[in-house]
Amino acid sequence: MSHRRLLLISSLLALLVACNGSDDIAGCNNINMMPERLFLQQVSADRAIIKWRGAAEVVCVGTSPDALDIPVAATVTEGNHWEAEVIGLEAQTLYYYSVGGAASAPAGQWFRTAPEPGSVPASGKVTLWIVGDSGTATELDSEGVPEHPGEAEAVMQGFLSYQQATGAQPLDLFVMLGDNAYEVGSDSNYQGAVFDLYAEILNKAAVWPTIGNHEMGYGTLYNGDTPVYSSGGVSTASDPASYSDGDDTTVDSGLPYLDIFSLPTQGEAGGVASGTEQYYSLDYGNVHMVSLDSQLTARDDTARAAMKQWLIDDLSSNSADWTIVIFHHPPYSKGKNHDSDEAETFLFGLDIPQFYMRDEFITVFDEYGVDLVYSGHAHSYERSYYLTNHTGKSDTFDPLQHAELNSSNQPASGQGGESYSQISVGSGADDKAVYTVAGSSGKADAFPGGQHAAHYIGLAVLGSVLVDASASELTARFIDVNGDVLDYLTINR
Amino acid sequence: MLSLAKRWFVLFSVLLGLSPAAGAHPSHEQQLSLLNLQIAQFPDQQRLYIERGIAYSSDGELDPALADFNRAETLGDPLLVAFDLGVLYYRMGELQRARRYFDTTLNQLPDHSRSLEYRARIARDVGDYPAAVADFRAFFALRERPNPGHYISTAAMLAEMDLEGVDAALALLDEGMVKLGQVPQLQRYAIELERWQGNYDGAVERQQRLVAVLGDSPQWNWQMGQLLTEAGRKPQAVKYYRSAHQQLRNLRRTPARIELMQQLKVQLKPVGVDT
Repeated sequence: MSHRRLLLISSLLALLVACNGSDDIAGCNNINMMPERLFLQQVSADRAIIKWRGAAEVVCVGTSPDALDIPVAATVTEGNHWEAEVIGLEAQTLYYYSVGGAASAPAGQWFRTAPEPGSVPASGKVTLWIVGDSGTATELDSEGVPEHPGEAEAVMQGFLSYQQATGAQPLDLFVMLGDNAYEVGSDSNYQGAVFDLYAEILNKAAVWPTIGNHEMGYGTLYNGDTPVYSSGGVSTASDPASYSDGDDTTVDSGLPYLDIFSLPTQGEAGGVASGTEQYYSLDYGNVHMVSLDSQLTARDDTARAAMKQWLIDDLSSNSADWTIVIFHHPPYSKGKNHDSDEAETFLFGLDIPQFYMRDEFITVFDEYGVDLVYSGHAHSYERSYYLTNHTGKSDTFDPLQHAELNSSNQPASGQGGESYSQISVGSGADDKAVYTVAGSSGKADAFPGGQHAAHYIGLAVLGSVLVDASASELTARFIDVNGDVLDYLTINR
Repeated sequence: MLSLAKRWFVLFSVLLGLSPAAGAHPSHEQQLSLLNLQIAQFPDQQRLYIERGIAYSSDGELDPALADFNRAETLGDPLLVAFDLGVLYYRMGELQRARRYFDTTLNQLPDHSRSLEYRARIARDVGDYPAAVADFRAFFALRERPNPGHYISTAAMLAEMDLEGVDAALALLDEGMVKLGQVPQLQRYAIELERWQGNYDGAVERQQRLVAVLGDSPQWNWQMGQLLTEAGRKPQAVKYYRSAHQQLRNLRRTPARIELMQQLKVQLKPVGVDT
């Protein structure tokens, strides 16, 4: 739809609403109101959701920062948020916006719509910034003292430094791998660990999250019928309504994560309808991304089977150049307290989703052309070789069977002359993926037992991942707090 | 001498590099100390016994927890304690006792969805499918967006009950799709149920509905061909196989697509299609 036609329709709608006595959204002539939190959801080629908490009930949008001319009324949604769905947008277009209905956008408040499905942005690549277990800004000890002060912010600054130094294009997708807000994923945890910290990211690019164990609040682990340990992040429930923040003076009304985020359930952002916000998919240009729920859905046998069936349907319908899957619990890790080899038995099933994801979903990723898998949970950076069909523990890893090899019959590194090909040379098919644990965006733990056999590299270093996906090449970089690249891989197609 | 539960607690706290004092939440000892003080001051406050009972229960001290909950029952409205007692007995494996407490809660608060879910699970675990289904149905009615898998689980119970159960299972899945949208997980199970009862035309019709969410993909075309073949409509099936074959020739080779191509060749070669 052309911009002029959109303006005409919006104006007519606004006039209609005004004549019906609704609140004034007749024009963008109000004042700008600073919301308590502000973030974008589901930004696609023709649509975006602007979401906030505050007094404003309307946004104004436009392609000129000082002449916003598209008023959009918001509705109240869960968690006392306002949500404005802006439709009829043009692809690959920069839109400025104000919250409150002012005609001018505050500095730095804009978003760019996605390119048409299947195409790349004008920059030539889709850019994703991925953080895992970043929610430590609200992690306090029993004395109320921050346990990891400034670490998540340092990771963000490292990413921004890298972007500035390389003249990189603005971010397209901001991806969060779970444990986004310690200790219990409460609304106030989210305010401190996400909305306050990433304000200048969230007002420009849509955030795409997945559920971590700390999103599920407080829980108790049992040895049979005997409760043995209670803390934040140890819930093994499969029902989001079982969320508890551990504070008996508050009333828990369900998982805050689901109240905060507005995630697609009907394929609104591309991908196949899932019917639930707990797992979903999206298309952005030439990238298809899937967020699976390894925390809740994975813990119920039937629900997990249904999610797997949905994933098969989703990937069967996908023809994007690149496919990325995210979920919290890594199938391969030697990170502290989250060794994937011990997932079946450790702490009475706390980490059993790591086993389920490896045992039941790896083969789906192989069969249906997934390129990259990102997880958090372990507070480290661990990046695998280009793997296929490795569903066992680390001692069953056989490079000859499970990895793309270099000319010396060793697992290829994915770098330089050993860059990966999306269509594997050996098999002639797109049957391999790189698995990365990127859980050190808020804190970093050492490796007590050494590196996983299927991994190319393991680092106990704070950092985050930047993925650039063009039509012919995908590069993923691990960037530390200094903006230095400590690891990278390239896949060509 | 530490109780077994406390030994486990201390052991795993050490393993995790945590001690009760170092946790991000007040330790259980601190919590219990505070509640003990409060109860000493206000010995007849029901709420305090409930809170201490929850703290004991979470710390594995089930007998003190039970004592506090029983005391709380006498100090005020027993309804306020019923859910927590139900959860406690559920954790202890005493399902029938737990069920009675959830009954108590739900008799007074029929919309207490957490009690419904626990009671549904108890009923399912003991094989009382009718009761489980009834509670899950009530649970669905209270939730805006239940997990799709729970519809499938409940439909499976319905389908197992008796022949009429399959129709009821299908109806439940359709209800779920009204609520959640045309999601493939539910429709897939519905298609399997239709096939199981020999209603192949019904299965085809349901597969047709999926094109709106799955798109006209090779996999969808193949599945439609399979269902039409089962329905005795082979000529129509061939058209879908041809469509899938043509699409696959232009798509990136994944193992799933390679296998699908092989299956299509098997179907198309006998009818003279050049593959």
